[in-house]
Order: sequence, then C-alpha cells, then structure tokens
Amino acid sequence: MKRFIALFFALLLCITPVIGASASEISETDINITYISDELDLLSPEGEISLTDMILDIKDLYGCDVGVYTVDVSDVSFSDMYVFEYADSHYINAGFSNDGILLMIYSDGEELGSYIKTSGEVATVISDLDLNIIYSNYESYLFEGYYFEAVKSYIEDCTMEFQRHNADFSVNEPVYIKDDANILTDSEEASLKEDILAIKEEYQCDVAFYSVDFGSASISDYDAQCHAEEHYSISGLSSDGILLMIFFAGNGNGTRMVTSGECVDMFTDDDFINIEDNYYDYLADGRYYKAVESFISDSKYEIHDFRSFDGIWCFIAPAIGAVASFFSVGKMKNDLKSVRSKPNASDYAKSGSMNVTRSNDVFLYRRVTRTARPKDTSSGRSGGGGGSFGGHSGRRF
Amino acid sequence: MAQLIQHKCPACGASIQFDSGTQKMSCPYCDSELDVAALLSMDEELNNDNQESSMEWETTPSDSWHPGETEGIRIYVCQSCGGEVIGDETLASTKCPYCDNNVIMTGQFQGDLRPDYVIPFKLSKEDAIAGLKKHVEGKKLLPKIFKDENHIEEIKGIYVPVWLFDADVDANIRYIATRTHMWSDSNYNYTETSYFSVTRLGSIGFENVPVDGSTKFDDDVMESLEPYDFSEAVDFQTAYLSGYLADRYDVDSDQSIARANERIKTSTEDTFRNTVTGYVTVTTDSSSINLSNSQCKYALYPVWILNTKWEDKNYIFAMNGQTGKFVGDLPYDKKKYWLYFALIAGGIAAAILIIALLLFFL
Repeated sequence: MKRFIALFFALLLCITPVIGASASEISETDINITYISDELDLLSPEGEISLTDMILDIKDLYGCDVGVYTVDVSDVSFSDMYVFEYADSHYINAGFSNDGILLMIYSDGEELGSYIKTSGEVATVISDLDLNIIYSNYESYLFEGYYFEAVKSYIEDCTMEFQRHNADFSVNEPVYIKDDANILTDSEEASLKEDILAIKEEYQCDVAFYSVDFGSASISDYDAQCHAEEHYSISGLSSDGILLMIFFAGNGNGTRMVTSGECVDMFTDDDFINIEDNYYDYLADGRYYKAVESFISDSKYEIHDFRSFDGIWCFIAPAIGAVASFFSVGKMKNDLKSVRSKPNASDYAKSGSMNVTRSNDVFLYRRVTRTARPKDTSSGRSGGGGGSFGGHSGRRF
Repeated sequence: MAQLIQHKCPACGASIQFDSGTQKMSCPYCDSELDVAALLSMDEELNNDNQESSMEWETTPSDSWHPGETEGIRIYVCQSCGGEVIGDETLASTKCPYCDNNVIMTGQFQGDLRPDYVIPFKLSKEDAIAGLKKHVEGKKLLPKIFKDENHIEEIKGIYVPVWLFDADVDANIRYIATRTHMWSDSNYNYTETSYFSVTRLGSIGFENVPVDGSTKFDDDVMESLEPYDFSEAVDFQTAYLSGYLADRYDVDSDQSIARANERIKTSTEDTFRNTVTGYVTVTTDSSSINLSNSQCKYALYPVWILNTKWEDKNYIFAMNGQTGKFVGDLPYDKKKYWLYFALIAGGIAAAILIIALLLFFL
C-alpha cells in the first residue's frame, strides 16, 4: 500500500512539469488566425492571398484584426438571431483579438446577405454611420457578383476609418469604468478605477462598471442582458471578469451583472443575490458611488474566496477519512466474527431434483410517478454578445 | 449402574482408540492396528467367554443422596481401574480421570437412542491446533494476549448428536415482481413501475439436512461448521468413539423439525425465485410447501472444540472434524480498534488534503 501511494505521488510529480510545459507552449505559440474563411468559394486563391496581405498590413499598422467569413446557411432555418450567433461564433473560433471587425457574407441557397461585427475598441471607433458607409460601398459589388472587389472595398474602408480616427488598438487598455449616464464624478471614477486595477493586479481578473441611460425607451431584462454583454465584449476586458451595468430606462431603472470566463463559475446565484443585496439600498438612495464601491468590494471578496484554497477541505477531508475508516475498521472487526446461523438448506438439495411443473407470469397493474425537472432561472449563461456569459438580472430601483 | 465398554488391544491388553488418520483402531502402546469390524467380532467372543467373579463388599455409606439430588447425574465405574466416573445424563464417551483409558457409556446408545450413522474423525488434534493458529492469523484487532492465552492444548474431539432430515418438497409459490421504465420530457421525469404476479409450481428434494440435537452445543456454531459430507458416513459402531468425547441427544427429533422446516422452506423459496428472471425486484408473496417421503435419521458428527475464557467472557472455537472448516468469534482490542481508526482516517484525510492542495496550486 505504501509503495502504491509513493508511486502515485511520484507519477503526479513527474506529470506536473509536463502539464506545465505543455500549457506554456500553447500560450507562447502564436495562434494561427484565419483572417479569411471562404466556405462559399467566392474568392480565388490569388484573391485571398492579396486580401490577406492587406489585412496583415492593417494588423501591423493599427493592431486590430480585420476578418472575412463566407458561409452557407441553407441547411438551417435562418434568422437575424442566427446571423449574430454565426458571426460571434466565427469571431471567437477564428482566433481574432478583442479589437477587430468581421464581415460575414452568407448564402441561404437563394441569395446572399451580409453582416458586420465589430468588437472591442473597434466598436467605439467605427460608428453605425461608418458601418453604413462601408456597407453601401461593398454592397453593389457583392450583388453584382464582384466578390473580390466587394471584400477589397470593405478592407479599404476599414483602413480609411482607422486612419481617420488615428487609431492604435495595440495600446488600448480595457475600459473598466464607462459612465455614460453620468452618475459618478471624475474623482469617484478615479478612486473606483484604483480599486479595480488593484484587483486586476492581484487576481488577473477584470471588474468593470458601466452606466447607461436609455431615456424613455422600454428595456426588458433580455435587452439589458444583451446590452451588458455587448458592452463587455467591446470594452477590451479580458476573458475572465465581471461587469455591473446600471441602466436608466422608461420602464424603470435596473442593474445587470455579467460574468465571463472563469468568473462564470466563480460567481454563483447566491453570490449575485448577496452582492445585489449589499448595493441595492445605496442605489435606491441615489448613492451610486457607494453602490459601485460595494459591488467592487464584494466582487473582490468573491474572487479572493474562489482563488484561495478552500478551507472547507480541512473539514471535508477528515470527514471522508472518518467515514472510510469506519467502514474499513468495521470490516476488520467483522472478520473476527465467523459464527453465523445458516438460514437455508441449499447444501442439502438433491442434485437434479428440482422440477418446475408450472410457470405463470401475469401482469397486474402499472403505476407512473413523475417528478418536476429543475427550471432555468433568470441567472445563468448565455451565448450572445461574442462569447459565453453568465449573469444576474437585478431588481428594478 | 450404567454399563461401560472399553475396547482393549488383543496383543498387549491396553486400551485402544480410533485413529482418524488410518481410519482403524490403534494401540498407543504396541502400535497394533485393528479393523473396526474385526474388533467388534473379537469383543463379542470375549463377552461370551467372560466368567463373572464374585468379590463383592458389604459397605454402608455414611450418607446417601437426597431425593432429586442425583437427577441429571450418572455414575459410571471404569472397567480398567474401578474408578468412578461422574458425568451428566447425556455423557456417552469420555476418558477415565484415574487411568486415562477411553470409556464409552453403551447405555447411552441403546434402544431408540442408538445413532444410525457416524461420520468418523478425519482430522487429528494436530490439524485442529493448526486450524486454530490459522484462524487467529492476520486478525489485526485481535488482542495479543488472547493469542498467547488460548490454551490450545485443551482442544477436545467430540461427537455431536444431529438429526438428519430427508424430504421431497412440493412447492406452490407466488412472487410479486416489478419492472421499471423511465423517461422524461421538458417538464418532468417519469418512472413507470409495472407489477406482475409470478407463480411457480414444482418439486425439489432435500437429504440429510442437519439439526443440532444437543442443547450443550451452540446451534449457530454447529450450523457454521456445515457442510458435512454425508457420503463418508458409516453405520454407527461404538469403536469410532474411542479417544473422543461423545454426547447423546437431549433435543429429540420432534423438537428439531421446526428448524429443519424453516431451512427447507427458505431454500425452496430461494431456489424457485432464481427461476423468476427479467424483473427489477422479486419478493415472495405467499408460499405453500408440502413435504412427502419425509424421514429422520440420528447421527454423530465430529467436531474439534475449544472453550476458553478471556476477560470473564467465554469463547468457543470449533473445527469440522471432517472438512477442517474452523469457526469461532474472536474478541477485539478496543485500543487497537481506535488506533487503526485514527491511522486510516488520518491517512485518507492527509491524502485528500494533499491532492486538493496539488490541484489548487497547479
């Protein structure tokens, strides 16, 4: 037994550096980004090479990714929702960085359609108006069948926009605090950002805050969730993080917490409720700084708690040990007992004497019981907004 | 006074005994060996030639037994040395405490008390000692002092009286059996349980189902020693008892029937239940068991036995004198119990904590 345990730990120690080495190899290796993925075969190989060169030049100059994706969607029931999901999914799978833009051209078997997805700082640089101009420029080429020219027009327009805004995405830092509703003073924002950066440094995890005023528009929980996730995607935040969105809308003010990456598992429903309970009173009183401060402080606590060695193992381990030991020693004790009455006479049945003369199986009745399956709650994961998010829909205030 | 019999060596006249190794009568003094059948013929001849001597004494005892005082007590006189052997009313074979000769109380086997069969001892006292040593081996919680003080030299061979029951069984058994089927939709998980009435009719035969015929020997110990191989049983002869203790039954066959029926009924239900297949659960709902061709035999089964005392508690160990199966509950050392408990619990807890720490830091 001792040898076995020693061998187990020796193997564990041998495997550990191998795993570590493999992980570092992956992180150090450049991910091969597929800038142009032409599943519809709209572009010639030479055209693809030429366009890729243009895209790589943009990457060198501005530090952002420009992608093209053509896809056949004729085998699925297609809707606008699928357009977003296809684009988001490809954006992630192709390995694009946080700051980027993707043109998706899709065919439903009868006609072509297109959609442009922007991410990170690119989304703040290229406005909806800019997108309309880009779209109108390549649209005519696209529907006349000049696909290379259409894609080339899109890339050139992107370059022009980046140039016009003097953009440099390589040095952009994540937007930790975006107070579009103007509920915080500059000094308050600075103070909160200090706390957020301290958390980032200590735990490599982003905590962010976003306020937005929708005016008189009516915002549903689903809209709020999509908006929060969209903001998370374009803020340049790392894959592991939590965002609090405070929104003001015609149908009531509210909050939404969105988690991403490791934070999805880090924050449980109970954690969300606890965090919300702590900041809710401040929000109701209009003390927004204290509310956000409470959110950041509670988030730090949860991240620390998750990243710390869970002390509960100090109780679980002895409990498991005690139970296992109870059975083990119980077996030893049971081994001392060998006197037991013999309830049957199976040793004395005459060999071959058994004879079944009648065998009858009759169905009597049937009983069906059912138990309710657990329902999904408002908290949970969602696939929209450029990645897998978790989150919590807060109370209106 | 009860009648005693002693088997003597025709060569040297010493008391002879049954040898479990050679399955013959042997003389411990001159090493002569004799077939059991030949010995019986010779004993008959000697009895015919025996001339009674008349050397009687007139004695007046200073005191006499009070009425009822001798109930349950039997006094025998050793034919070798004349010493008195006092035993209980069921004692059938023993050794004379004065001359160490083997004596058999033939009166205990007369009339309807005579056993039909006996399974002779196949294993010796040395085998029993080895069996006991093996029995206590590797028992981690056994007190060390118990191993040292278990008086292995006091192991005795004893023939235990048993009743053997034969019967053919006609069974009519009804079982309730169930099958389950599970599925789910978006809202519920469903479990459908179907109930069946399953009937089995048939017959099965049992032979030589043993029931302990002695109140002095624990029934559970006797059943734990099973099974005995009845094919090695022989017609009863007192010669087989030489060198061993023996009791006559004090639980008669009528009193033993209930236990035999219980065992036969359980076995019948279990055996027929094995023919009920394709169900998740099968439980016996009702059973009608009828016996035919039933008969009962009286036999003596060989057992090596050791009674020992530890911390004011009696412990009994027994070995099947035919197969060598050894049984006997052993005491446990409370200090060792908690020591092992702490060691195992601590070891597992430490291993879990190490793995948890490794997973956390990796």
